[in-house]
Amino acid sequence: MSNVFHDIVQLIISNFHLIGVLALTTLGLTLTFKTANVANFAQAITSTIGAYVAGALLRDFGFGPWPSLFIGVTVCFVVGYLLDAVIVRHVGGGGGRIMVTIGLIVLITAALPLIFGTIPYNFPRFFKGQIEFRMFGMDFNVTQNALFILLASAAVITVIFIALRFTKWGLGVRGTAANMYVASMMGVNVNQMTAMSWAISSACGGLAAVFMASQTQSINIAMLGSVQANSLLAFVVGGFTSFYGPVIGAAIIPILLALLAYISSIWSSALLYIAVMLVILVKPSGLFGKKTVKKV
Amino acid sequence: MVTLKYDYTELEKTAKPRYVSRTVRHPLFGYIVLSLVLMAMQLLFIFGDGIIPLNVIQAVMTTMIYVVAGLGVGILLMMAGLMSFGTGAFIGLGTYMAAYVLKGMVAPYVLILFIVAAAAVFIGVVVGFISLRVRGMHLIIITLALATVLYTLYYLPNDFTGGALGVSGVPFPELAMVIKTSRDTIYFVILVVMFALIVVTMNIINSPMGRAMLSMSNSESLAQAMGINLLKYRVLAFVIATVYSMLSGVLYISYMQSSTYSTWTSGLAMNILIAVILGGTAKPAGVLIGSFVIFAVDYAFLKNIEFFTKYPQASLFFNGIVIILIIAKYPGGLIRLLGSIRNGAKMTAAKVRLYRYGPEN
Repeated sequence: MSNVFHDIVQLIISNFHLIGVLALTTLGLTLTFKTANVANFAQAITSTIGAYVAGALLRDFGFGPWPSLFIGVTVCFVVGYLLDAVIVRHVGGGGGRIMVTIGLIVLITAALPLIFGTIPYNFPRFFKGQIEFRMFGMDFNVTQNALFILLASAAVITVIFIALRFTKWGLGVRGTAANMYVASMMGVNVNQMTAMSWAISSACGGLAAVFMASQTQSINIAMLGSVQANSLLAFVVGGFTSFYGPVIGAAIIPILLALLAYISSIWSSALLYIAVMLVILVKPSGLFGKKTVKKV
Repeated sequence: MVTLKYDYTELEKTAKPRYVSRTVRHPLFGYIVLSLVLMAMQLLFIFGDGIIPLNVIQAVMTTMIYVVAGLGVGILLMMAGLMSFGTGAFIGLGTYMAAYVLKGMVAPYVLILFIVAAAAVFIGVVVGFISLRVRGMHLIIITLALATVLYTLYYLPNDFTGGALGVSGVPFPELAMVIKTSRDTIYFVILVVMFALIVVTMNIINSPMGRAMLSMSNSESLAQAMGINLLKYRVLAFVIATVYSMLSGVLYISYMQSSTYSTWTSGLAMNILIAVILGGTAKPAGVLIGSFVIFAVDYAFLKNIEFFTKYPQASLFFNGIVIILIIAKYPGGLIRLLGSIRNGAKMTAAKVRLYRYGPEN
């Protein structure tokens, strides 16, 4: 029995980096959903641009890992801003916007190998060591890098939440999320808010992508495929009426996935989807969401 | 200078006999012409000795197969306003069921179509009931969940789907117990089935059922207030989409003869959704054009150009650009774009007439 417990806890601990990456991606997804009213299916693939840029800087231009990370995230920031300013802002309607993000998936998936070539890039770990510790009278180990990713993601998310709560930008975003038209009547520059949300969500994604690359030590087109799917699940499970719900969902999903993978590795993703489906059917507003009443 | 005054509209009326106009204006005229052209293409391919390359025929075939699924998705998305990512998995289910029937016994093709359609009705009802309470984002997740569960089931080793290897070597179907089909003649069968489903779709769109779905997608509360039974039409929309998808699967297996689990991802469902949105309408014309752009253009034409064989990603890249441009600039889809081009041509013609003959009155 204690052996099973040890294995499960060890599985969760070794997935620490996944929690961080997923939380960042999901926060980005939530920001764009609340302001631009679109479920951004292209979140992961836009983030992959950042990872590719960082990888190319590292290999071909002799930058260190930290400057590459910084420049990759900046590029993602700019790309996110441009995506909204050039494309998404001019598309009306929720369904059309979702399809545009799907079009972006097609576009970027094709463009990245054209620009960066088809050979996968490598990325080193930021911290190389391994931490071993005793807990409940059992030995566990975790890579320093995974722990770093978890802590750094938590720090970034905390900063964004503080900004949302206490800054003028945060007030503008919350206003836009509550009601776009009223916010624009009150003098909030809604377009600017939305574009900045896209930029920040894209930067979060870029950070997540580089983190993921540093943990798996490789960069390829499909590196964030499962993260995209899981972040959509986290987004729905947490309930997207609030900003914090999806992030808590993002912390739950990898833990749940680890438990399910222990039960059956083939069925884990299907079981996860079934669990999420049950949550949706029982409580459509999500675990931490408020029920909204629609007026006719 | 003497200006000629002449009523051109009157001239056009007298010049064209009325019955021609009525034939051309028949809603099915375009589809019949298209079917005849496609039929002629295949005849040229069989007897013409290399006039039409093989990859064009294959691309047209693939498009026809996915158009059938696209018609169902068109009704689900454009009429009822429900977005489903489970289409790919349902096409897969259709292929496996048809393969099972085709391998096990000698059955006429129509019977296979009916068996699969009956199963699809059952599955559609189940899916419809599961997704009754949800819409939008939640619906996407629920259909994704169903697709993932089915995908896992296909992947697991079993006799029905063949596990990771898939089913292969499925014989070509027999029509009415006697006529055997081959790789060449199955084309006509698929064409006939597609045409029949186009006719059905046009009738669904214009029927009271179609109108009820349309009102439901515009405002559920309003539709309910007008006395439309939401449960009934929601389930019906899912049943129609599932039946079309699984029939498309039957067509797929009867042409490809094999089916592997890795084809039936949500990516395929996404491609079909894109095709429908590109078309811009639930009408078969839109679905046909959209599917042609997504599934055929790349394989049929671009593969022959050297640049695209050197960079296989480039065609996908241009696909992405087309998708984004059309959705951003022409929310009405390619159909509307063609309509604007036609209107522009008419306006130009009118201007030329005005320039040559002066004002008409």
